[in-house]
Amino acid sequence: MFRNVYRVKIKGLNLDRLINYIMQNYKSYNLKRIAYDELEVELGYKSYNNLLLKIDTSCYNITVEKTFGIKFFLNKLKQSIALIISTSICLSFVCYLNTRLLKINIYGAKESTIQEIYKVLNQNNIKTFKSNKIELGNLEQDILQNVSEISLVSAVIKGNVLIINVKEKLPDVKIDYADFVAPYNLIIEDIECYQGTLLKNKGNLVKAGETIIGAYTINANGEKTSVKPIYKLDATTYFSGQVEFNEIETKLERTGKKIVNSCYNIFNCDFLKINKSNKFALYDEETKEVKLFNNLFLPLTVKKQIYYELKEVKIEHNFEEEKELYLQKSKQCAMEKLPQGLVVSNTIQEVIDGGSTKLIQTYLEVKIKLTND
Amino acid sequence: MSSIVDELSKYFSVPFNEVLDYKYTVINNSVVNVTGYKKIINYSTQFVTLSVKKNELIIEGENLKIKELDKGNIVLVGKIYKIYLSKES
Repeated sequence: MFRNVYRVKIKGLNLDRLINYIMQNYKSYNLKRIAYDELEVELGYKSYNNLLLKIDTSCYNITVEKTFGIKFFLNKLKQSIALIISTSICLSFVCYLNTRLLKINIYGAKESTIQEIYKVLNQNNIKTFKSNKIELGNLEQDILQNVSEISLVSAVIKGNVLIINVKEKLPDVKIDYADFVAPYNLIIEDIECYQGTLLKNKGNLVKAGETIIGAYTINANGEKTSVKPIYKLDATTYFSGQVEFNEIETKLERTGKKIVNSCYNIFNCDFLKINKSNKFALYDEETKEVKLFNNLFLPLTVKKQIYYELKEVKIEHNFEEEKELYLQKSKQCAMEKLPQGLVVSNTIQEVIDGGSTKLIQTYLEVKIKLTND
Repeated sequence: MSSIVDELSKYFSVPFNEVLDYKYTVINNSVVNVTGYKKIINYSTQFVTLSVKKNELIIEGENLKIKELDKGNIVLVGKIYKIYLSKES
């Protein structure tokens, strides 16, 4: 590779003489007699040039078959400028990339923290495709100071990647100092307060939202100290539901008469409009829009407006016959208000008579036990 | 001449006889290295005739190729059948 050699073909007569001349003056390799007047030999760069000067070119025909060596390779490179330019561009691009950051990886932090870290990096002008010569110690300090949720940071550059490992702070333990507030309207059956200040006593009626135990204690000096309320509460609460019963019920029924107004529409243009005036005193209105060609591209629709005539019909009810049904409806109404997980201990139902109108009420009695001991 | 060489050899403790003489080495019937030859009389792929002292060294073979050629040193490569001396005509 590093030896610059010509492989030469020599044609001419009396080649043995020429071989002896070469032997006397130069060092040659791989000499081969192809024919009586043809010879192939490898000569060094200088030997070949000297031979050309010494030899009588009219007697010998010398042709270069092949060339080897770095000198010839460089000469070939000189001729292909495009290759040199592209190679040098590639090399310079690789060198340029070696001095740049290609990726920033942040590990061990949640999304919001990562965003904050990126802000700090932007402030320090650390971005992808920027220089990878970074003072890592300063960067770690900056991140620690500016991002509050971080306890430990380590920054490392591996190749073209900046790796930032983060350890987040443990969440602060929040002590619950909230007052104990009544979740429903309730009557206190029994209450035991182990910690906190008792504001309601046994037998008191407490409305939903009222404080039963305050989250504080007052010592002998009158100083207030926040504490977590610890208690045991037995209470009764009620959930009610009511239904109204009317002996004479008025209902509206359709008589069968109707007025139909229609209008065809295509590309938001109305045509073939039928618009009749509504003469009914009591009526029910219904509008429809029907696509005529569902599977076709033609968007032809028909809008219909129908007025149905209504009449009042009075229906008489007998309470005794329908009492059970209304009691059930009332209970159902109360049950809907009952929160999940509570067990009904007693059901109280009553009928309030108001002449032709009756009010059926249901009370669900629920015993609740609340504690956070 | 030989006596002067002998004297010089004794004086310098160097075997000039061997240095000045021709010498050939055959390796595995495929490589011949001849040193101390004067000139190439004839060369073809079947035989090579070298002039050595007052004789001719004839190397017969097949596909004979000169691997290295230098002043007084020749390396032949190929299938070697015979190597013999004959009187220079």
